[in-house]
Amino acid sequence: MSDSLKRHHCLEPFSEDSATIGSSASAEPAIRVTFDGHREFYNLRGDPADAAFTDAVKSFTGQSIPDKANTLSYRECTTCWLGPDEWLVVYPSFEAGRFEKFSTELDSTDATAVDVSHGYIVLCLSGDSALDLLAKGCTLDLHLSSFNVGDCVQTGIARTAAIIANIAEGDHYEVIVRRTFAEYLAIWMRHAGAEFGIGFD
Amino acid sequence: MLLIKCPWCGNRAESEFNYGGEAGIARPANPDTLTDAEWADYLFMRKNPKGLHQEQWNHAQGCRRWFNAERDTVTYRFTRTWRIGEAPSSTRDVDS
Repeated sequence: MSDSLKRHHCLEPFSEDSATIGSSASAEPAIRVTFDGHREFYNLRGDPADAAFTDAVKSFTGQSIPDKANTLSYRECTTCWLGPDEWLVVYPSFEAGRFEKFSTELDSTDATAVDVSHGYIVLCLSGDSALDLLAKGCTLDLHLSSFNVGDCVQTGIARTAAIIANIAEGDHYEVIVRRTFAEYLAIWMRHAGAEFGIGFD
Repeated sequence: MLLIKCPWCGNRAESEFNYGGEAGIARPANPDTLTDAEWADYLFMRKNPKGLHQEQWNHAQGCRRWFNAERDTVTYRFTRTWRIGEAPSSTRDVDS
């Protein structure tokens, strides 16, 4: 029965209400924002020096956990560094039973994983001015010389705690925020992005 | 803008951090054996120096880890930071 239910996320009403702002309707806006509310997020805690833990995660996700601060590894899923013993594993879509398997995989280790999928939503930004928009609300230096593909940072954007992940070449950035702050952040982006031209899908 | 060097994340803006009081205050191993004066000293008495002060800070909007910092209370300059459980480096990043 649950197969036939459609999954919704909290920013669907926002996309329907938001026409392209700040540029003429025919021109492609300098920033395009799409919402992805259907990913799976696991918060992972463990000791990176414990081989049983790192091997278990690697055999399940197919990639090593990033041990360097503020970086991510990316293949089937994205694993973001959150702290010296904490990571966020992000799968692009929901799959029934996956978390249970992952959790079982960690049973024999001293690590723990928590399914936090319902707590987060992703705002995917693309376009020439995407970084200019983020820079308006963020104190970090997002210039290429210090923020490259494979980097992810936890910081504040317009006073909202967020993770900015740089996962692809070109001007593509993913902003991972708590669902409850997502609408506020989207409204802030709509105002702050008007000077560049911003469109929401 | 005041930059604070998180021992994990590097230089970040002051607005990402929370202050956590004086560093290096160990909880007494046997609280029952302390006099009221000794307990009060542990709970309430702080150095409050004019000059270099060792403090605890939390990178609240980043990696959310606690760390130690040495700050000059006159100039607000952070002279060095180090991870919990480690010893501070023998040299300072900047002079106070």
